[in-house]
Formats: sequence, structure tokens, C-alpha cells
Amino acid sequence: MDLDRRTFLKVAAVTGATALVPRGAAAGAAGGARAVLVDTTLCVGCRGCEAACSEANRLPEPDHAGDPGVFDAARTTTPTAFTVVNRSTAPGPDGEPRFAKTQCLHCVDPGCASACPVRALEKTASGPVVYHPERCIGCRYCMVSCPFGLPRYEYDKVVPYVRKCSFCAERQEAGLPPACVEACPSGALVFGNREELLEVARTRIYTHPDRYVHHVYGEQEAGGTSWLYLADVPFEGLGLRTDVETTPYPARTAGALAAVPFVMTLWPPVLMGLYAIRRRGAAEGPATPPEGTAADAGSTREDDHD
Amino acid sequence: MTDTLTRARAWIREKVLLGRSWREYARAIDTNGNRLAALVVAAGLTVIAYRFSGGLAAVTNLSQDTPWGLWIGFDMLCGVALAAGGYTLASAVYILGLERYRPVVRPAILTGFLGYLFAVIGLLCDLGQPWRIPYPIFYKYGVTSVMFEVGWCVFLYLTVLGLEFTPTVFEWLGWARIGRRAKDMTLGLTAFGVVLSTLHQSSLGSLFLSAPGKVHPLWYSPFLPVFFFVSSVVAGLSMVIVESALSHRAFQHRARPRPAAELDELTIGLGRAAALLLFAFFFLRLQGLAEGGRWAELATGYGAWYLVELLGLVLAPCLLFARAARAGDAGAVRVAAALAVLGVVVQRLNVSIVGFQWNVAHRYVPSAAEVLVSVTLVTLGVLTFRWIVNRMPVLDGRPLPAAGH
Amino acid sequence: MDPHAFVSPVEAKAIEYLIAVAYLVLFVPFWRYLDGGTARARAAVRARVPARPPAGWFVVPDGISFHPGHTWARVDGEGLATVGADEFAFKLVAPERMVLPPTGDEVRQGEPAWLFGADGHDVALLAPVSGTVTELNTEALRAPEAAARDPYGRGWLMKVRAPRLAADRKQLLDGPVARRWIEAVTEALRARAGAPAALALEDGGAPVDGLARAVDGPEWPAVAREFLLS
Repeated sequence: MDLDRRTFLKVAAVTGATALVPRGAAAGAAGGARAVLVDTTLCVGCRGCEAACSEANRLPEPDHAGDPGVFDAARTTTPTAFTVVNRSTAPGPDGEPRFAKTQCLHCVDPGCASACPVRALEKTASGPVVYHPERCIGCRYCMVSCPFGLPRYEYDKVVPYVRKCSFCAERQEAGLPPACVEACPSGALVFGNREELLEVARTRIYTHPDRYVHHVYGEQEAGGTSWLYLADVPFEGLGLRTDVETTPYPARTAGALAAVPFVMTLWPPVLMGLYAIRRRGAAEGPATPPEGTAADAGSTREDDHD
Repeated sequence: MTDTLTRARAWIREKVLLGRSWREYARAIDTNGNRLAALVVAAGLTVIAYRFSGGLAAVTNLSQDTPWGLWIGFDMLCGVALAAGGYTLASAVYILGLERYRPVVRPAILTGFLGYLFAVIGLLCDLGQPWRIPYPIFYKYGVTSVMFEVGWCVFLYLTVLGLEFTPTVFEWLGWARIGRRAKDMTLGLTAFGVVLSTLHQSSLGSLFLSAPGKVHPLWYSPFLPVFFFVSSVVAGLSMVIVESALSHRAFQHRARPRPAAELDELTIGLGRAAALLLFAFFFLRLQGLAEGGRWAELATGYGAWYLVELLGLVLAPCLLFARAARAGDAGAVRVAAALAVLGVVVQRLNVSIVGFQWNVAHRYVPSAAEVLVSVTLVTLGVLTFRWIVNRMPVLDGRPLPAAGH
Repeated sequence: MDPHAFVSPVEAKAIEYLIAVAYLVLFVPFWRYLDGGTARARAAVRARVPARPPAGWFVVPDGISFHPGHTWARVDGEGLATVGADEFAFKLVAPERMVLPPTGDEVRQGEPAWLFGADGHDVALLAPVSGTVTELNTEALRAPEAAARDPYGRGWLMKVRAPRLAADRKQLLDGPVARRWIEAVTEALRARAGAPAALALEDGGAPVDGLARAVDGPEWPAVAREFLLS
């Protein structure tokens, strides 16, 4: 990225960001974590991203390809469809429907990865939460721990795996944007550096305060996600969960896990202390002194407890 | 050669067939109860075979919204909780030196071992790829995961329970020397068992900490690990009360003749401890409610069910334990214990199933096949318990004869 | 259900403290209630089920049927019984060795079936049931004094295939009847001349081993046979 950030922002402010970022280009993706900004006001609901995703991940073709009736019912991702586009429940201010694609949001601090007992799900430094199928034992704790409920499981397979969007991690390593971003014809999807895309998103809100809901979905949700959304209709109407917390989900279990070393450190002296006190009490009391082995020690004392 | 064969035959006859021939043994176990059990087990094993040939979807109602069902909620969570009598009683006797509870330590440890064993078998049915169950132990360490910690603790504690039970097995086999050696480890194993149990009993609650939006707010609490740990001790004590009463009746011929008053006194002592813990547990649950601040939820249907659990299955057994213990009424203590066991089961199911994903469109209800597998595992547990108790010195836990004898 | 609804942290914390204080206040009476009953509860249990059966020192366990000759049988299943000598017999003779019939032998109810030996004398005991001996307790044979400590458990002596077990059991005593019987037997022993210190047992002291010797000195085998009906 040759453009420095200051220039970039200035240009963005002047030209209006929609036209600025070249479609499908890895704008600002040189360093730091990658992200995608979804401007749902620009999405036309063509489902090109679904088709590209299926192709890139060698999945079956999307359901009802080319059938506009597909939007009549809300859909969720499945083990064979890592992204789905839904139509908003309420139309936009212009009376036209809005669309949004959903997929794994690739949290900055993902609950699924911290929940995995074998690190089959791992957060990479560049953004994607990747899945290592060769490690997965199938406990499905990732599904429990995902605040968005997005990992999918192949319940009907004899050898099942967890399935979800990989953020095209392999393509990213090869310097390519995710397949869905590359396929998007309307410029609704922008791939780039997360920090910079956040600036882009904020800039769009500042420059068009009447158009956008004043919130970048994904900036704070679940402690921040790699997929960021802008909208001019309520986010929940777009199939995005708004009941998630703003703190990272791994923090929820961190406290309990922090207690583990302390329990391991403190219980043994407490237990052995109780044992020693009780044994000494038995030895000093009128009862016969305890014998050598643990199991037999202090066998005659029962006066103090009922 | 023939001599060895004869001796092996005699050994099997004495140790395995209880002094009968194969035919006599087969005739002796041909009872209506056993036939029913065989039927259940056969049907359950068929379902399990079907699960492994057709995938989880073939037999379970699990969905993308509710990845955990009865096999985790009941087999794992309840199985492990109800097996807590092992560490509870072992620490009471071997560490605190409450010798009068010694007669129930061995059955409690056996119950614990079988509880964990069948919980793990249930887990094997539930895991997508059960053959990879050693992975967290030997291959990849997901140290940030509560599940990782639970896995390690259950693995280690199952080993500890197995070792704690070995003296009984060695007595059965008549290997006195190694039996005494095994006994020397008792204190260390007990202390280690308490550490491990504290960790994983509470961690089974911690598992759900990562799903604040999915567990109903009345049951979700940052104190879940504390709730799970405290109630596991209640479950352990109550299970020992219930199980010792049943064993006393069912295995009379196996127990050293012991006046009924001895068992009654012991029951009342355990009941008193359970009353104390339940009293604290009740107020802890109130703290959880206050922390969440969701008092308005009490007016909903979930709230009514919550109150049934809290008042009917926590407070009621607590008061009943106290009253019965004070009156010296062992029968009422047993009723309270049964109620408390039910309470712990209901609490676990409320967190993991009833209150889990309570606001999704398609609620999870276990399929008949899932219930059947759970029933099968319980049946197998009871049958194994009976098989062992009928052969090994579990109920008449006597020390090994000293070397001089 | 609005996640951003205002919940006053002051109020929530205050309620938590109130609950904690209420708990402490209630804990005191609860503990006093629970702990105060200890002695009473024990008395209640002991009153309901006497810690020691009326027979004094001899336990009459459930599920055990007694032959008046102080042997017992326990039904193991259809046509199978475990037999042994009762606590009284062990205490009376304090056997140093036991002679059991070999497996395959027939024993008949009420007829001498095995021997207890001590001091160079042997005393016969009567079979409680009729049938074929299928197994001997070699452990008990090796260590009679260990068997004596657990006469109804590890101290069993033989397993017998008893074809007429139901009929045989009609001749045996169990439950309250057995209790009254052993009480009477104890009384009879106590009434004997020269049963002094060894039987001053009302204080709950355990009976000494080798009662017969303690009571009648060198004449003990005769006394033992009298009580064992052999």
C-alpha cells in the first residue's frame, strides 16, 4: 500500500468512499489484520458471493440459484453453504429492499477458537479463524461458544466435521481477496486492513449522516469482528445478531480457568493440613495412636463428628 | 497342562460363576428383571450401532442451534455429578478421618468409577469422531478451552478412581501383597481426587459461561462453576444415601451382617451434611439471581419452572434433611436424598437443555433413540455395579488380613 | 430483553449484600437446629432399631437361617445354599482347625457334617440343610480365627447344592424366632455353674473366645456337644 493513511482518508472524504476503494482489490491489506466491510446499502442481492463461495470451497451450487423467491424466507448458513444473502425485513428509506450476506464473522478474539480443546479452530494473525479438520474430535463446543451460532456440523455424516467460512485463508495467503469479495459486482464488499476499513466506515457515516445507521456493526460486537457492516435499516432486520455482548467471549471463561492453577496449588496443603491436624488430634487423644498406613491411621476417632 | 485347565475352571467357577456351573448360572440369572434389562440393552446397542453407521442425524434431534443434547446434558453432566460420592466420601474418611463412614466408601468409589466410565461412554456416542478422544491428552493442547481442562481432569480422575478401586479387586483375586501396596496410595489418591474433582465438577458449569446469550438468564450466572461444584457434593452425599439404602436391601447376602441402626446413623450423618450444604446452595442460587437482576423473568413460564427447581428441589430437600436428621428419621432422610438427587439432575438439564437456546425457533427435544441410549447406559451401569458387588468385597469393605494371618 | 437496559449497580449489589446478611442471620438458627438434634437423633435411631439385638452379643443377621445346632444356611439361588457355623459356635469352641467334608460328599440336615477342633478334641457340627457339597472355603480352612471374626460373611464354610432347600428351611430358624432362640441359648449358658467372669457380659463386653473352655475347663468338649446338639 503506497497511499499513506492520512492521504487515503483525505481522498476518501473528498470523493466519497464508495467510489474510492477498487472493487476486489486488497486495499490497505499490507499489514495488520484483514477485514471486509459490507455496505448493505450498496448490495443488490445478486447472490454472486454465494456462487463464488460455493465454487471456491467446492460446495454444491447455492439453493434456488437465480430464483428471486429465495428471499421470501430467512435462510441461515448450512454445512454446504458458508454464506447466505438475506433480504431485510423492512425496506430501506427509499422503499427498496436491502440485502446482507452472513457468514462467519471471524471475531478478533473468537469464542470458538478459545473453546476448542484441540485447537482445531485457530485465529490467525492476519484475520481468518481457520479450521484444521485433521484435529477436530467433534465435541461441538465451538458451536456452543460462538455468540453468533455460526459453525455448522455435518450431523448426517459418519465422519463429520465442522463447516464454516474460512475467510478464504488460502487465497489470502496467495495475495488474493476472498472469493466473495472478488465476485461482488456492486462494490458492497471491500477487503482491506481492519483499522483502515473502520476509518472508511466511519467516514461514510460522517459524510452521509442521514443515510446510515450510526453504528459500524462488528466494531464492538463480541469484542470486534473481521466482518464490518454498514446499514440504513436496523441491523437485526438484516439477519445480524444484535444481542451479542461487546466484550470478547473468551473473557467469560477466563476467570474460571484462571482459578485452575490456584485450586491445584492450594488444595493439597489444605487437605494434607486437615489430615495432619486430625491425625495429631487422634494421637494425642485417649484413642490408640494411628498406625503407619494412611488407610488405617486414626481409625478409632469418631467422637467429634456425627 | 490339564491341571492348569482344571484350576482355571475352578477359578472361573468360584470367582465368576459364584460357585455354580455355567448352566446353573444361566438358569439363576434368567429372571424377569434381567430379561427386561437385556431387552433394553439390546435395543440401546442397536441404536448406538445405527448412530455410528448413519451419523448423529440418524438417531438424534441435535441441530445447528443446539449442538448438545441429552447425551451431554444427562449422560455427561448428570453422570459426573451423581458420581461425586467417590471423592466426597473418600475425603471424609481418609482425610478427615470420619471412620464411621468407612462402610460406604467402597460402594461410593465404585459408583463414582462406573458413573464416570458410563459418562465417558455416553460422550463417545456423542462425539463426532470419538476415535480421536485421546487428542486433547496426547496430540493437541487447546489450553484456553474449558473443555480441554474437563477432558484432562476426567481422564486423570477416572484413572484415580480406577486405582482407588484396585485394593478391592486385589482382595477379590486374593493378591494380598500388591493389595497392600495399592492401599498405601490411598491418601495421595484421595487428595489428588479432591483436587481433580474440584476442578472438573466446577468446570462442567464453566463450559456454559461462554454461552451467555444462549442459556436462559435465570440459569446463566458467572457463579455457574460454584453452583456446579457445590451441588456435586450434595449429589454425591445424596447418591450415597440412596444407593446404600438400595444396596442394603438388594445385596443383603453380600454385606457383613451389620445392625440396621448402623446404616441409619450413617445415613442421618450424611443427611445432616447435605442439609448444611443445601442451605448454603440455596442462598448461593439467590445470589446468582440477584447478580443477574432478572427478577422480572420469574413471572414467566421459565420463572415458574425455576422456582419449582429452587424451592421444590433445593429448599424443600434442605429442610426435609434437617428435620429428618434432627428427628433421627433415616427413612425421611432417604426421601430427602432422592429429592436432592432429582434436584441436581433437573438443575443440570435446565442449564444444558431446558434453558439452553431457549429463544430459538426450533427447540431441541431429545429423540426416543437418545433417551433409549441414556437408559441403556444407566442400565449397564447398574448391571455392572451388581456384577462387581456380587463378587468383590465392596459392601463388606474389610481391611486386608495383615501379613501374620 | 434490551441488552442496554439500565440496571442500577447500586441496587443489584445492595440486594446481594442483603441476601448474604439474611443468610448469616438464618444460618445461626439453622445450625443450632441441625446440630442440637445430634444426641436426640442418635437416641431415636437406637430406639427404633436396637444397635445390638436383644440376644446381647450375638448378632442375628437378616437372610440367615439357623439350625438349632448353631449352624446356618443362606439361600444363594435356586437349590444352592451357603452354610457355616454361627457366631455362638465359633465363640464356644474357638476352633484351631476345621475338618470339612470333601466336595461331592453328601450331607444331611441334622446329621454331623464337619468338625471343629481345639485342644486336641474334635466337636461335630450338624448340617443345616441336606445336599451335595460343591465348594469349600479354603480361606476359612486356612485361618479359622479369621473366619470366626466374620462367621456369616467371609467365614462361610461350604456351598451345598440342596435339592430340597425349601423343605429344609422349614426346619430352620430366622428373624425374630432366631433372636429369641439365641437369647434362650445364651441364658442357658449363663445359667451354668462356673460361668463367672467369662459371661459377666451385661456390660456389653464381647464374649471371650473358647467360651466352653472358660466355663467348664477340661470338660469343655462335653459342654460344647451339648450346645451344638451333637
